[in-house]
Amino acid sequence: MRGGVLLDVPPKHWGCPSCSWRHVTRLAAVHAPMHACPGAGGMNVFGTPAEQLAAVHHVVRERDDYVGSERVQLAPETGRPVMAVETHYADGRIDAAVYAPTAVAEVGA
Amino acid sequence: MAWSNSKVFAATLLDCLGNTTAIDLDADAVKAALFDSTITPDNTVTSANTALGAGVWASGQKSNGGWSSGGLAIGTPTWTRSTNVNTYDGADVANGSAATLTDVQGVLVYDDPITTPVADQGICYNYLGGANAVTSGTLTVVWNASGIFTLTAT
Repeated sequence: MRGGVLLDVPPKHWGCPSCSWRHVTRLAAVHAPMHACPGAGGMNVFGTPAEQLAAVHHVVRERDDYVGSERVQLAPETGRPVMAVETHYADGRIDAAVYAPTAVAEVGA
Repeated sequence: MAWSNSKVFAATLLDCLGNTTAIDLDADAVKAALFDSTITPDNTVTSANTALGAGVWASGQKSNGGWSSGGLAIGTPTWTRSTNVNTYDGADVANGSAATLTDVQGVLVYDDPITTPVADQGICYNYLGGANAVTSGTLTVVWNASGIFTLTAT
């Protein structure tokens, strides 16, 4: 059998354990689409493969430290500073999207 | 002391504007490396001490599995200007194969290909706000919509 190019990539179904978001992608490369999740305060979180949805939950972690003058990422729906959204799987795996503040510099007279 | 803020290295700015270094922000393979809570970053250090493996960045790096030592490249870097604000941005960074990491407190953004006068010179550091962890999973650094860093001319 000869190798060949896969012309029609099979669809991959995604969902979110914290909201009703559902999505389908057709990409050959490793990927995970993001969406603004109302269940996570509107933060952009990664989709979960649909076949794993039943055994997954999100944990939203607010920033541990003071915000001060940091340009942190705020949850659009709550205004709270979110440090990470963790995805906990039934088998003990944990993924995390960690939200980096913007570093700043100013120059001027 | 510990991590407390997100800053651009002053010495690196001077080196770039003074043509001391050939850092090319939107062309070089700039990387993000993870660090733990044992270090206290300082953006007023010398050029040499901004670099990965030097100064405070000589210890405390977190790596495992797909988050390899030295960190991961930031894809599609951009360096743009809007009025008086210049913004450096890029794609979110994630490990391709599973990793187990604990106490991930911050990120050093550095220029990997640059070798002289300072190899792996640091550009900025971003404080994640606490101890982050993954277990046999993916840790994705999601950059702020405002960019990885900004340089404002006031």
